[in-house]
Amino acid sequence: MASKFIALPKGVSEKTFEAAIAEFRSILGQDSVLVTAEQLAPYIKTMMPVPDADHTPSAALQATTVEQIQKIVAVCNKYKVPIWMISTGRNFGYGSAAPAERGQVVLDLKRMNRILEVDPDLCFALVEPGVTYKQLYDYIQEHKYPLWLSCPAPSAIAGPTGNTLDRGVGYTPYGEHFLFACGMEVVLANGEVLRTGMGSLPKSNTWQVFKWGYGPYLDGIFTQSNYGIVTKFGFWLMPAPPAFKPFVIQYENEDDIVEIVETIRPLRISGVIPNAIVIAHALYEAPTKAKRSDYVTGPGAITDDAVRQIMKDHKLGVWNVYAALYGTQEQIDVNWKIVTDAFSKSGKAKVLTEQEAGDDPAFQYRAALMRGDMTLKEFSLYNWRGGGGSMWFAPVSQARGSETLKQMAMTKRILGKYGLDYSGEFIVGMRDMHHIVDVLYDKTDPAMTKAAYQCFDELLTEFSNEGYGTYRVNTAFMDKVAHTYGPVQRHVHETLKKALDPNGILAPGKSGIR
Amino acid sequence: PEPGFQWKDGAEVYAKVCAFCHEAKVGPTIRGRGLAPAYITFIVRHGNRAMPSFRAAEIDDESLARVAEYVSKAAANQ
Repeated sequence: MASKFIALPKGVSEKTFEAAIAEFRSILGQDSVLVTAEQLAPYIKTMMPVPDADHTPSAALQATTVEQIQKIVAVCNKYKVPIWMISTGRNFGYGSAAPAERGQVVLDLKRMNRILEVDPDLCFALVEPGVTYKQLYDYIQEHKYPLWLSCPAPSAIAGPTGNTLDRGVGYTPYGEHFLFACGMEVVLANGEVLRTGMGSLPKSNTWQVFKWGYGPYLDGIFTQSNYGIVTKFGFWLMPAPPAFKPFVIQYENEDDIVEIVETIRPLRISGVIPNAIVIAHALYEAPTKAKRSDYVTGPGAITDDAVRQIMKDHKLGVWNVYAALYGTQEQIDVNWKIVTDAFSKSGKAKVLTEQEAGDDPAFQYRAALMRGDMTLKEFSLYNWRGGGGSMWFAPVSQARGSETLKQMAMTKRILGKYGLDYSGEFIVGMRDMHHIVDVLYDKTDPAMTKAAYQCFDELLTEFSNEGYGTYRVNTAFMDKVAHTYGPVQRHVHETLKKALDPNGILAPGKSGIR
Repeated sequence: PEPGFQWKDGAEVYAKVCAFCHEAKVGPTIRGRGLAPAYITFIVRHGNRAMPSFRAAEIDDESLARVAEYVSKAAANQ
């Protein structure tokens, strides 16, 4: 007999699941509990090189209130039904909106989307998980608040809660998003509602202004984890500066990354350049202007000669350093002199400002991201190979020139072995780099899909052998990455999990935690 | 509680979601091509290669019907 459901949670019988679904319906109403193949189709599309069946949900629940979520976890505990929580669910390249394990019920909080507070004096926001950057951007514009957002490249359709809970990054001086988080509300597996920091104090008005509260600081254990369901999220917003000066500095040779990083680090650590600078390879920027098929035919990775030709045809450096200055015009003028003096020493750098590069599509979208404007132009990456295959390979590096060159060369060699291109960038923290590489492949091509899987696996193995860890990863490789951080850390994670979620109902498998 | 954000009409969905790719040379032009609403609806829900899928939680069925109608009848891009 065919099942009523397209998948079942691990260890849950159809009969038990039917009973759980009936209870979910009594909480949410008939229309907010999705079980048919047609209703669940949007949750199944991922960009990972594994069968979609591995990540097919059994159902999706559209909750809109904290009370509903408390009742849902009670049902999950009763029937041992695992749920996978998403906010805006636009986690492309990391697993999208699909659950980590086949059969998990997606708790979809997209419709829980109220902007609860934006304070233009103290410069903070408090939002529900379904709020998108675009929604918040429009709200700020309508109210004429002089505040800027920081968002990742999927800007308009992504949101601050989901992005920060996976510790995502943006490109403004507020680009390290979790660093600027302040106060969370979390529904725990036992149904209790925890407010972190100052939020637990009755009558407090400092939830979004002082992060630590009293005693152990808990916010971090609810990021990249499965210890609770975040239902409110506070974070700080950057005051709009009087002036903004984006610029790009281009270099011609791959080993120039050493000089670039050595030049940038003191400027970044001292705050002369305050934002999350990007050092983007030509192949990361090329898709906004060029087609791969115009330069490459047949299998294999793109050649260095073809990359040179693309650089020439489309006015790209092999490295393109996007950064910006913020403040009054006087502040910008002072810092601009420091920046140009530093970069002009060797004579290798080509410095371009809005005057020279303002019409360039790559410069335009980078400038937009560095001021927290909405643009999805970077999705051009997915057209480079086409076919819907993409995984982010994201090792952490010291902000040291020799290290970045070593990581870049390792990545390019391993990708090349599998016929894939190096589309990478370094996002510059103060002392760290998020080395972000888009492993792009054609998911409609079974052989290339298999190669992409093996390639990603080898990248993780080789990098961890060199002591390089990954900051974030797609759902197909979470266990592998968790192992690279060693048994003691895993054991602590599991101990916390057992204490907070003894029935294992919250997103088992997230970050390898069960 | 007070209700959250809801789409006003098809034009708003197009402007605030679709246009970021389909008016920016990331996705193909879709206005002025007389694409069938049923086709548009299918692609939005299932995604298509480089294009992501969109859930009913993001674009509800009624708003999707309206944006599909809007796109199918719209004039070509300027």
